[in-house]
Amino acid sequence: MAREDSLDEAMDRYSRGDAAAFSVVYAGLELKLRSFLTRLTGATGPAEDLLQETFMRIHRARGSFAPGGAVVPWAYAIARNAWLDHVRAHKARGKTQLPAGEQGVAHPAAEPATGPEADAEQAVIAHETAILVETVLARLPSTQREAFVLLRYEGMSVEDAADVLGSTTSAVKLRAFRAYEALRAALGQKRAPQGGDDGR
Amino acid sequence: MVDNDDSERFDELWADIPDPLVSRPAPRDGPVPGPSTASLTRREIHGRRLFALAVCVLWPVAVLRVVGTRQGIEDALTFLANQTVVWGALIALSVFASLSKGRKGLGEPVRLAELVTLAAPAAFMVLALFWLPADRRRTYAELGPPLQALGCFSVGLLVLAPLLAIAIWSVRWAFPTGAGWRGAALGAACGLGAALILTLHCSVPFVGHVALAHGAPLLLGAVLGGVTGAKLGRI
Repeated sequence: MAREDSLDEAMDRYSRGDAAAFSVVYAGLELKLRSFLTRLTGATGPAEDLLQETFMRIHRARGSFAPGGAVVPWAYAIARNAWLDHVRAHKARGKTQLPAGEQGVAHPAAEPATGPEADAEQAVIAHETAILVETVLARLPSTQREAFVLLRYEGMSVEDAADVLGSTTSAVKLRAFRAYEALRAALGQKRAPQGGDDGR
Repeated sequence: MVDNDDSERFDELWADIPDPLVSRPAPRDGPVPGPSTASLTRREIHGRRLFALAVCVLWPVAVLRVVGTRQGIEDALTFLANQTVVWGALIALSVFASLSKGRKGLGEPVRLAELVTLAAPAAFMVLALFWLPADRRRTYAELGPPLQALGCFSVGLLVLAPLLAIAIWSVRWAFPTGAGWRGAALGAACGLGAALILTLHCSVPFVGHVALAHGAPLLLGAVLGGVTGAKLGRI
């Protein structure tokens, strides 16, 4: 919490014209935004481009950062806008997303297996599960995907996620739950042939 | 308010759904140079908004001085004072819905901007139909002379266009969420300003004239504000 307070303070200084504060803002936001954008795009390449675009937008809009505001949700909202513009541009050009697993996202089993055989098997299962989760996430409507990513992976509260998405808390809960149901169904189907698990 | 248990309930629900992104790239080492392009600081944005506010107050007054106040204004002072208070309050609410920083600097909930944008024209129509000076009879069937309607619409546009342009200019890259609706609320505020000036300028008794010729700039302001807000106000 203290770290986020100092980040807010750095953004406040940056919005007042202190150029040196940009390094602090960048250091505090880079990993969060990169992870968020990678999860949304399902690919590291576009996520890297969108990260740069997000920081450009933050720079352009720094003067409108409200005094006493929280920079993390503000930056997430800007990153989301950059991603939505990216999605719209791709739709307009008629491009489709690459299938998950071929885009360079770091999966657990993408690392070389170093443990005993049993660990390797676990790693393969984890890798397949990660690809499945990513594939299902990529197929979800963007509204469901972003709600799920913010709540499940970025650890936001429902209220903060609603602020970031410009939506209501009940809509965010509903979208995240629908995403959860889709993921649960896909994981259930994957596990069913292995152990007859119903997925709950 | 949101139930604090919501997030915990979700955490329990989906704890076993893995994160596809496990290993993360290392953060960049050393200080990062800031972007080389110029951008406005908060002080410059405040200056820009104060300038915009001054123009938005002075321009309608200047137009009213040029086109003149309505005939028999002395007889309708109470009516005009009440209308000014009501439209002024709606303008303030619209600006608040659009520009207030909200809970964490992301603005008030977008739902408020939606509500205000839709309520402003609706309130205008209802009041135009049922709220007239005491000595006037409601004349629903007629629009009045088309030239008069065109004249009022032109005055409305004359007030609206610079207000909207400068208002949108002052919120360039200001909305991280709900840019379209926040821009529409701001446009509705400009349109209400135009409607207020028309109320002070025009004494045509026909309700259809008021609803159409005075209401059209308000509607136009909300629509144009929404479009330009989404294009130019969004970060």
